[in-house]
Amino acid sequence: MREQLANALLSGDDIATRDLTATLLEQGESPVGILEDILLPTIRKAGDLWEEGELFIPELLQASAALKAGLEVIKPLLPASSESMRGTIIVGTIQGDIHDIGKTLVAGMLESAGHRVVDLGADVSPQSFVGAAQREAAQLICISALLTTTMLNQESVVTERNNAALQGRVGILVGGAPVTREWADRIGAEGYAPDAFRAVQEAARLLAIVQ
Amino acid sequence: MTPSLRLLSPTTVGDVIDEAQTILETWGVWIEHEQARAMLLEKGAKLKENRVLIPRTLVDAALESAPSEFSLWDVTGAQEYVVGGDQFRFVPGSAALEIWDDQKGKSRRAITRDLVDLARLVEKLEYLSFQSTSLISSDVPEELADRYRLYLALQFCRKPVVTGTFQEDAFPCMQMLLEIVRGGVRELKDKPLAIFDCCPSAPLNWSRLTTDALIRSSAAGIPAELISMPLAGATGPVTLLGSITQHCAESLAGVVIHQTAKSGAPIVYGGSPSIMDMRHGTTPMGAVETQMIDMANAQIGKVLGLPTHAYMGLSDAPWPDYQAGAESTMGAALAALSGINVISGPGMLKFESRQSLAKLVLDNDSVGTVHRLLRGIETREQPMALDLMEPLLSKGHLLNSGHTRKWFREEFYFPGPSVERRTDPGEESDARGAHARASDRVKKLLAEPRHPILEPRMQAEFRKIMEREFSRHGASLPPIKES
Ligand code: B1M
Repeated sequence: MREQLANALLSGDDIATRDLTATLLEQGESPVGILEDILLPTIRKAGDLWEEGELFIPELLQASAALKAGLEVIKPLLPASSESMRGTIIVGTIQGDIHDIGKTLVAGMLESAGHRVVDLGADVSPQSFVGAAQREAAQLICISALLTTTMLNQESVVTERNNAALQGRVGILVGGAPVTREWADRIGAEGYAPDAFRAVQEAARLLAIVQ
Repeated sequence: MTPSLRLLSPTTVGDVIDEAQTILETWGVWIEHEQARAMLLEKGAKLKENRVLIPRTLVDAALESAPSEFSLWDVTGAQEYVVGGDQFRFVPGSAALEIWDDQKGKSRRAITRDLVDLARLVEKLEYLSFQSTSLISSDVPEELADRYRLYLALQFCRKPVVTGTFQEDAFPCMQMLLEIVRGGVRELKDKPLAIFDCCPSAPLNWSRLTTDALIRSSAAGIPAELISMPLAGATGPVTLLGSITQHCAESLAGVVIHQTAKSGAPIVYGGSPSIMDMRHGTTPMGAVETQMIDMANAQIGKVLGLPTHAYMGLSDAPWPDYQAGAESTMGAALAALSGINVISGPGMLKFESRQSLAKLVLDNDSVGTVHRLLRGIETREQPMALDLMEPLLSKGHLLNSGHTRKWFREEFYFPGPSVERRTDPGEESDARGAHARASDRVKKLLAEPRHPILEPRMQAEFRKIMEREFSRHGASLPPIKES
């Protein structure tokens, strides 16, 4: 049954993942055990397979969707203290910008690395980013921008975050075609990644600092 | 006979157009621009949960009124370029974030001097019919980058220009620059100098920025170019035909908005679609499937009776290497064989984000080859060979015959630096290759003396307008530097 669940997740079968998670719970498996021994290792394996070129993006994103379906079943049963997910991360494309594919990939990769991701979509205002971080008790805000004109608004999220006295508690990671490490440094964002894969590594680095 | 290539059967083209119309009737489009929405509702479109459903009658009326061809004129107003039929015109790919520094072998952000160099180079590249606002200058405030590109382009290259806005407030300024060159509002309408690109946002969305540009260009008599770009497998169906159908629906919605705003205004059926690379999450513009989508889109545009456009003849390679040459040349040939009227691509690398001057020179050469291909095999003489047998058989060759001297320049294309045909080009050339030869050509062309294109009076007006724009943003207009 445990193996069946792992296979369902890896093949992106969200309904089977949800049902098998429920069945395992009924059979007496602990929610923490299901999460830490089956769901999280399997989603990490999916990420590794993608890196090795075995899985493709549609399959990886669908595995993340299956993970979500399984989590919905066990989340309410997890004791608050045993929050095994790696971190809560707010993701979105900056205000004025509707390019959302890169952002969606970054969100998907972060999810497949086991993080809880709240995707705010595209054209997101600085206030919405920071408001969501407070509401969701997030440790990281990830902001995508694809235009040289809209990347300027990334700085306003940093300002908004600092004004809300969240510096040091909520990190900011920026990315997107025109964004560079220098730009991140200039606006005071703690992290920068050139692609979705490195966004996952950079997120892990930042989460270790803020937590 | 002009060679041509079509990928879809007439029945399939009909099916695509029919299904696209059904999509517009049943799913409609989201239009952020209130005025455009109201305009369509007044003409019989229906609103359903925030989406505008467009009936076939509106699409048919728009297609009826949109012209099948129009003309552009160069900066001097002397040279006319017809956009329509099977005429094909190549244009440098537009709005790159970076330039490949051909000397240093690395990429960097572009600055004013690069934009000037690019415009000056395009002026001299004979197979690029139009120029475009190809680079974004990083030494001016980002908010002004769109209009600043046009300000420079018009001063350093005579060719008609393909351009677009990044921000709504740029349009009036850009329109003013064009009107100064022409000498007035009416004059610009009579002799359009620019095409404005307007991108719907797949799937089936028309943002305020792009709808605004569409409406304003129709009013100003500036031809608009629809750049729909569903990404097959991401923001559009993964099946090529599915993506082509969505592209058709998005574009038809654009034609309806445009023609409802101003019946008879010129508009181009174009795009920059792509497949989604499922391994790397990128948008490969040089992929063969992307090019097939482009070709099919143009075929549909032609059946709809509109001038056509595509992003082809470009590459995703990071610098002008083998991949760049292969993707760009194949794309250029396929685009021309498809009879696409405006082909944006030369110079472009890395998923439409990087330009290279050396690549522009190399692509210009490829386009020259394509021009040769498209001239086809002509009947020069009758009989074709019979009368030549006597001199040929008696001398054993025709190298210096009157026949050869009469025709060789017309029959053969003489490629530039992209092609090495010497048996022994010398060690240095062997080692350096096409990219280095092209870089040398760039240097040589840019070293040639330049004569001002705009009259001093126009230049002064240009400066005045841009100084006003810059001071509104608390910045000052930088001096123009050339290489
Ligand atoms: C938080 O941490 C992180 C970390 C990493 C992060 C990250 C966040 N976010 C991204 N990453 C990174 O990881 C991702 C995966 O590895 C990567 O994400 P990317 O988003 O880079 O990559 C995606 C997976 C695939 N790439 C993409 O999806 C973008 C491809 C290109 C061709 C592109 C597309 C597709 C579109 N466009 Co637009 N578009 C272009 C793009 C050219 C390019 N090479 O960037 C660009 C960005 N666009 C441009 C333009 C001009 C425009 N576009 C516009 C519209 C569109 C479409 C809607 C048609 C469409 C987007 C559809 C959609 N739903 O997203 C308009 C703007 C609308 C607006 N207000 O936003 C419009 C202004 C055009 C117009 N005049 O209408 C140019 C930018 C110019 C500039 N000033 O910066 C452009 C470079 C193309 C060009 N050469 O003209 C990395 O960057």
